[in-house]
Amino acid sequence: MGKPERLFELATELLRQRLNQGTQLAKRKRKRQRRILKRVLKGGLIMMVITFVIIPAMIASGFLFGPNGTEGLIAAPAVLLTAWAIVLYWTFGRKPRPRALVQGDLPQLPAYTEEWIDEERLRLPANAQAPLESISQQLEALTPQLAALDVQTPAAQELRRLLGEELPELVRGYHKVPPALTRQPLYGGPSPEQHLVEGLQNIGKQVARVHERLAADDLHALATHKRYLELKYKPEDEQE
Amino acid sequence: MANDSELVLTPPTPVAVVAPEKASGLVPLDEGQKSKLTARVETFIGELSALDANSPEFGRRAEQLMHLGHKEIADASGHSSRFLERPVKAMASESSVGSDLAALRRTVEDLDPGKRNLLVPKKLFGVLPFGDKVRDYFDGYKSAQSHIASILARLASGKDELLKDNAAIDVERQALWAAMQRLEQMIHISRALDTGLEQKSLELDTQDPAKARALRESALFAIRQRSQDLLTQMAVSVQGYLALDLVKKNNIELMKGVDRASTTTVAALRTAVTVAQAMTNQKLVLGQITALNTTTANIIESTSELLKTQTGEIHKQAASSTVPVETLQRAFQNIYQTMDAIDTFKTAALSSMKTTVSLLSDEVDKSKGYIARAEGAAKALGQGASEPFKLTE
Repeated sequence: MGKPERLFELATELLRQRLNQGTQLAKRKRKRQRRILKRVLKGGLIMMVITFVIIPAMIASGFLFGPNGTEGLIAAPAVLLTAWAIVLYWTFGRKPRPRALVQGDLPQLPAYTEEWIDEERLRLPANAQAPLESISQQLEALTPQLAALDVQTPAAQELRRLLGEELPELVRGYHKVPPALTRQPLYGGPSPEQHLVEGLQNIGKQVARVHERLAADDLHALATHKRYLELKYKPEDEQE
Repeated sequence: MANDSELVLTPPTPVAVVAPEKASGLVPLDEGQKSKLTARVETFIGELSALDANSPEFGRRAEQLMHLGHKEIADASGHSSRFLERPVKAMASESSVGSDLAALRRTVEDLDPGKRNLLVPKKLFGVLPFGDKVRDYFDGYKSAQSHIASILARLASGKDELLKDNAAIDVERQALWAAMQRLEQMIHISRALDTGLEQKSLELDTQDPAKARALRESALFAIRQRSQDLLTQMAVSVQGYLALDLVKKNNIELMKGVDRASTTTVAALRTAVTVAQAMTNQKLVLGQITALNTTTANIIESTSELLKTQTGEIHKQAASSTVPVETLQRAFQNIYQTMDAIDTFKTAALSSMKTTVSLLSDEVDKSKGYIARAEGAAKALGQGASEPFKLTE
């Protein structure tokens, strides 16, 4: 192949990758928004159902057992408001807990972790956003492979430990540091914020390595099959 | 006929133990690579000896040497379990091909004209009442043909398995070769570090004896231990590499055997068709075998040529010969010879495979001990430490 063609091919590939990356980012953003929207809708629906159950129930009880007087008038909105408050807490107040990550099913692990990362994102410094984003990206790429992975394999256990225990521990540790001290260097070395960023980078790299390892088997199988076809069907004088 | 080109299957010789001292150098590094690595080693030694021997930074740098090539060793040892599996699997697959060959032999023996005295030529020729017996004999082919066809199909798929095995070995050897190249680079680094540190500490003996001692006790000690680990892993990898080749050669020989067994069987059946026509003046229709001829010829690309010329000769001989039974008998002899050759080969190959496996598993166990130790050391140090001699792809 000539040099210009090769360059052209490289450029095309790069452009395709970039576009792909852009759409990936947009896709993830859309997904995140959809997730939030879904939650809002779900909460709203439950609240509506509750309203339509409680008010008629109150009216019905009034008809059945006789009017309740002032207590009833106060109790009805009070019950309604309490129910709404509980629903609101369940939909928005509850955060995905790291413990759930450990027990969660393996194929759901990336989704869980991504959700957790989204929650944490706002509470972490700007420097940490890039490594967090890269972990999110890795997780996205991992999802199809995890679906086929056996839970007992070392790679599965490693991912579980990494995402379910070590990542939350790092973030928890950072949160424990008083905000005023996060940027002060420790023993003349890096600051807690840097520790966090480096830790996140390390986790991201390790996830990438696990991903590579998981892909290695598939790559191996593909290369083997190609070689088999070559051995079987290619005339001997053409084989290298 | 196939008699003239007798089948010889050579069993591969078992892989000998590779001593760690001799393991390095088998995978060549080019000079450019070597000088680049040496330059990095020199920078490292320069930086290390410039540091205060009591500073934590000096300790950290010296500790880095303790897990030099950690990734390369882990990588190469990852292959060792796989290349141990191969020969064991090969022995098992051999037995499946072996049982098919045995079944083929039993079926073929039933059809052997030599086992029936009705085919003793002198008695037969010109005596018509015996004709029925001959017809019965050739009817045997008709009932046996579907059985033979299924055995031949099984043998063909067994051969495909062997081919797949060889394809996997090719890929594995490629991966192992890459891992060995990285190991070799690490060995080069560790040797350069060994001599460089030795020299540096000799230089410093008079100016700064404390630092010279620190260099010897922490850095040089660590690197010598690490060199041993690297060499041990290299020896195992080289041995595994050779063992994979042994399995591959073994498979190739076995495939040759399977090819020849199928060809000779098909040739014998074709001869039977011709002979039947000559003797009973009846067309012996072996539809399934004829169908098989085309597929077999396709599968056995290498021997189909042989089969073609053979059949031509058989045709001529059977038609012209006054004793067609002898021709048929010779066709059966060919099958037997092939099967005998395969049997002899298999016994020899199996023993050389066993020797290789037991030697290799000993070595792998040994290297696992080293790796466990290295793993422990790396865990204790923490993985976060930067690697001064990280190899780029």
